[in-house]
Amino acid sequence: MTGEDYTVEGFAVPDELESVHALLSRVAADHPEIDPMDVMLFETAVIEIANNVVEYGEPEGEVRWRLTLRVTDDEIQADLDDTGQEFEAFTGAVMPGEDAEGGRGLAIAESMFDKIELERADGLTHWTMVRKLGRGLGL
Amino acid sequence: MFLLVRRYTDHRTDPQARIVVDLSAVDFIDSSGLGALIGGLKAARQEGGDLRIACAGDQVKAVLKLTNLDRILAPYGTVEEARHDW
Repeated sequence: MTGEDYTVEGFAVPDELESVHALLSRVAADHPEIDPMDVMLFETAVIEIANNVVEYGEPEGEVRWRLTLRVTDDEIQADLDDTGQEFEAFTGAVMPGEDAEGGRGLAIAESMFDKIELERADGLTHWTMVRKLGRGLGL
Repeated sequence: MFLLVRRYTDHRTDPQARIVVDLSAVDFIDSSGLGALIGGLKAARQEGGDLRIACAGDQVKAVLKLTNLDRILAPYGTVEEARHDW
């Protein structure tokens, strides 16, 4: 069953990250059947991607985004469109060593999603991010 | 809070820089937060001390485990437990 879509849009700036957290809280509240671990790890991964857009999107402070979340019987999906410059596609981000102070964001996101895809069309970057439900910590 | 960790390690009064970060008010951590904890840990160890974390919530524990950082930042249940051998 495909349920309601949850959407937030605005500028990709640090203050708006709270709206992303709030949207995930709504999804969790509306879907008590989902393992809280799944929502928590999905949220962690979505926030890493959102942070990436906020931090590196240009022109700084002027990038707009729209995030849509959707829950199905076996998946939770996020679609993020942003107006920033093109990102280089990535896969296989390597988790840095224990003493690294940065560079974990994309590796964290990749480990928590079952699918992450990046497309560029009409001046927008479109991120598709999916986590299968019931994976638990998925180690 | 994470900025305070840095500040304290830079201007500590304890010559051994033994620090416990109480995470009881933190319900979400991202990679930047992890980086700040690692920075604090490295600064403390360079001075012959240590940094430990206590009262981490489920999300913090899960992220530490998935990044293997629980090996160098083992989460203690309470601040007292974290300081047990200091």
